[in-house]
Amino acid sequence: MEFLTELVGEKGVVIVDADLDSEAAGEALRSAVNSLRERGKRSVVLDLAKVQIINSYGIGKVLTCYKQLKAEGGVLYVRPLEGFVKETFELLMLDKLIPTDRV
Amino acid sequence: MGSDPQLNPERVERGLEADSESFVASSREFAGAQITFGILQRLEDAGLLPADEKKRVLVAFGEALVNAHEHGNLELRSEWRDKEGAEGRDLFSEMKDRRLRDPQYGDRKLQVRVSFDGVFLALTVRDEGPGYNPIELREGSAGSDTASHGRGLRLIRHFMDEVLIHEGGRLLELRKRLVFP
Repeated sequence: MEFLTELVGEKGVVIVDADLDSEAAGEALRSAVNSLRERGKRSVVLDLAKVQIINSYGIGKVLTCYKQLKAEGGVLYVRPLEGFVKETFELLMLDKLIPTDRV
Repeated sequence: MGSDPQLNPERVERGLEADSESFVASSREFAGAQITFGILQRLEDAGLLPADEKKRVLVAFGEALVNAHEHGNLELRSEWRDKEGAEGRDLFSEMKDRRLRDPQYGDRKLQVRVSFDGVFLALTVRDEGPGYNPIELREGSAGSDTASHGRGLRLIRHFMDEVLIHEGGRLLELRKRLVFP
């Protein structure tokens, strides 16, 4: 599994097109964010529009990316969330931690 | 969350009055398996479990099974996720692989039953670990916003109506009302 990445100005975007509930998806997310970091991007935006289900494992992987970028002076963003993913982010108060970016 | 207007109690009288499925798997078998619950699809087909509610139930059931497997049968500690192991990975992953190969942990069984009695959907998961103190778990489960653990139980409690802990923490029962008078 591999997630597409794109560059929009100074920011890197990861298009997550699978549910974030498995080790394969977690590894694909880590790998995509790392590829952007290696290209010098410290601001990364996750596009989770195609994610139907996210569980505590997937949330843990998102937070690992958040902490990694923060430690390097960067920021992790999400594109505006909807549905179950939005509900889960709000329930776990990740919406207070990870800002939204419409890039 | 509990009173979804799409729920249609009439379907119960016409069709799906009661249903259940169960399985028993060793830790080793569970680790390599893709678990699916046909009963949830049947409930959705019968108009009793709307798609959004099914996602919540699927996540809650998944969290319960993984908890019983990892923290019950394999006795893995959540805080190990934040510690580095001897092989360059996190300690949790390393210990998980090691214990799956160790018959003392890897042969332990997980007993799972999902049932619908016409009103409630229920999941029971029994593991063969040492159990735990539910009070300690409740107090310790909040975690910080960025901790690598503690969120599974919060999801379960939010997505299900009742969370019951029996047998000193070895048997977890989740219940959700699907039909309302």
